[in-house]
Amino acid sequence: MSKSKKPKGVILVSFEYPPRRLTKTSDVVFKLAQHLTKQKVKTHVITFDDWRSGTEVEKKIIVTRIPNHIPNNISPFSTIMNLKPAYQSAITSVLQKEQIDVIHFFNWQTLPLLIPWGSSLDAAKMYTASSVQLTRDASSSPHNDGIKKVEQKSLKELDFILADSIAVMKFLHNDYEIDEKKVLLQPLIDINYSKNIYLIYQKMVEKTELKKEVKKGKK
Amino acid sequence: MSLNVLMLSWEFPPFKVGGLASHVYDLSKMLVKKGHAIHIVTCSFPGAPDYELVDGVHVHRFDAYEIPAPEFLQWDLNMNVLMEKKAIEIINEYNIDIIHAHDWLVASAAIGLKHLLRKPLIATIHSLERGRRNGLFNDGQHMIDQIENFLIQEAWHNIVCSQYMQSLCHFSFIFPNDKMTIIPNGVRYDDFSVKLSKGDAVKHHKKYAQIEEQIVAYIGRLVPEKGVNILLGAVKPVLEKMPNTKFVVAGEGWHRNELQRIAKELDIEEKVLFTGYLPEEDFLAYFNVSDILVVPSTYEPFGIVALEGMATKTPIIVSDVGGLSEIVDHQWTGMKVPADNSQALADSIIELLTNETLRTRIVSNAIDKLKHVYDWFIIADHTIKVYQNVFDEWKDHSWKTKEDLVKFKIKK
Repeated sequence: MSKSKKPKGVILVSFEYPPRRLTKTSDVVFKLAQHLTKQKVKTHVITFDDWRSGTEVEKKIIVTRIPNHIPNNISPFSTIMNLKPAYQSAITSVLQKEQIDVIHFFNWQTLPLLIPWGSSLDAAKMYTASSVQLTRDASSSPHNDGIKKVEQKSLKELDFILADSIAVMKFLHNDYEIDEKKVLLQPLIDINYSKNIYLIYQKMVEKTELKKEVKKGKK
Repeated sequence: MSLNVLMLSWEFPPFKVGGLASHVYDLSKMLVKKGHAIHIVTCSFPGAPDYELVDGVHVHRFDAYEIPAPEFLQWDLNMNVLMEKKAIEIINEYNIDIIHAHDWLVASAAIGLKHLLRKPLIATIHSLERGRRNGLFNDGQHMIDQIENFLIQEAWHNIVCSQYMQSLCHFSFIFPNDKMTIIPNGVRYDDFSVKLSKGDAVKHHKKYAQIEEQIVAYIGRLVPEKGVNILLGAVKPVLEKMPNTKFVVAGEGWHRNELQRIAKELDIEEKVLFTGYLPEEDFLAYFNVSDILVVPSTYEPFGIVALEGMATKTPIIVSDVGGLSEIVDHQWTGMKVPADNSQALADSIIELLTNETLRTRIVSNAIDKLKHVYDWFIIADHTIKVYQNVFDEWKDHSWKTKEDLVKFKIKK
């Protein structure tokens, strides 16, 4: 892998980050961010916290906790949709200032912004799928079907998806109709998770650069 | 300078839920006449084209029901991501200078677009949830209230329809008045000035009352804040002095059964007619055969029905609340009575029914005020001034995309 293909900047978008822990994803994001900074990749984490917001630098990782403008909600689903503008504001603030090569989404709660913005974001877009609505609650209801549709529509906007398990991978292929080439099995508990992800980022940067060159008509 | 404006409104004619659709239509049509390009992004409905040019206004529709939802509020939030996606398609095709959002229903899309485009967002706040509900009593109402606040804070500038609304926004959200401009709603008064032939007038009058009866009319939704119960309370005192009076309540709403129960309890059923929704073709004739139009609301951010009454040359009596207080100059362009006071309303009805000079003066002055204040031509001019000021401020501000920073060099 040549040095030029190293990502300059990465945004990790998550719904949990230490000290907030809902699932194992929280610590995985933290370890990945640490690994990236060691590789001299400028790393932003944009996340949500129940009780605080603002930006701080923690061990060279720039962590932005988005504000919750709509604290009263009718359901967890409405909470997620109402957080979308705050994630968007935080992401564009970074994109305006720095070169970002990869935006990596964790937790389905961060996905809704991809429905409108998917094609407008120049950086490579990745998602780590530790679950899908069908693994969380497979029963059919307007609520569950709505979340599934949000997932379906946003997953189509991504360049690459990492599935945490074979079960999730199967759902992505069969029920969400995601192209098999776009999905890779990468368990979160893999001790080499961060290293593997970094290699994937490098490949994605290479791909994105190729795409840009083709677009410019250089090739 | 001609501006390209992207307007977000969940309703647009012929899909109408409230007064918002007509407002957006009348305003955008007039802005086009004044040389600006207006693109409306709005919800589709069965049979509607995805795109059409309506009186010069570009109307872009999208399927707003693609994401299932258990109820209306969640549907609205889901609809916003679809609206935002559609808007981005339009932005990629046209060069947009300003985003103009109408009400909380499109807030999430508008705020998302503002951050992506780094273009100024203007919001028209037509009313507030805390006013519509006379307080906030459940999570849904609190959520809407917070979305309204979020939109107001995120907008570069806000437009409100009355001093009352400005004050409500100011005190509700500790929001500075200089970030709000009052621009009233308008009325196409020429469309309302229809004079019926004697024969038609008699025909329509008979639909509602005996020929010898004078008609005191109400039109609007039948919901508590419209104060129809206060009008019912005024019926008996009026009938005691003027027995040849008929009270007609046109419109529908969930409060109708309760209002009919009150009419029965007061033993005035024979003198009060509930018509339900008026057919479109009867709308103007209804105003025309009415001797007085009453707007007894207890909450009204603006009160467009008062303008419609004025435009049809029907003398109006309104409650001294909200935007109605600003539309009507007492005994000059209409009559004002204290809100929630049936006796005062009855006294005013009697005064107006018995004083022809007063009625004539009110009608004449009301038309004059419409022409000078509530003409869409004038309202569009006020709106353009806001657009222009905001756009000029933005041009001189560093909050832009990298491309716009190159395109619009800051003067300083």
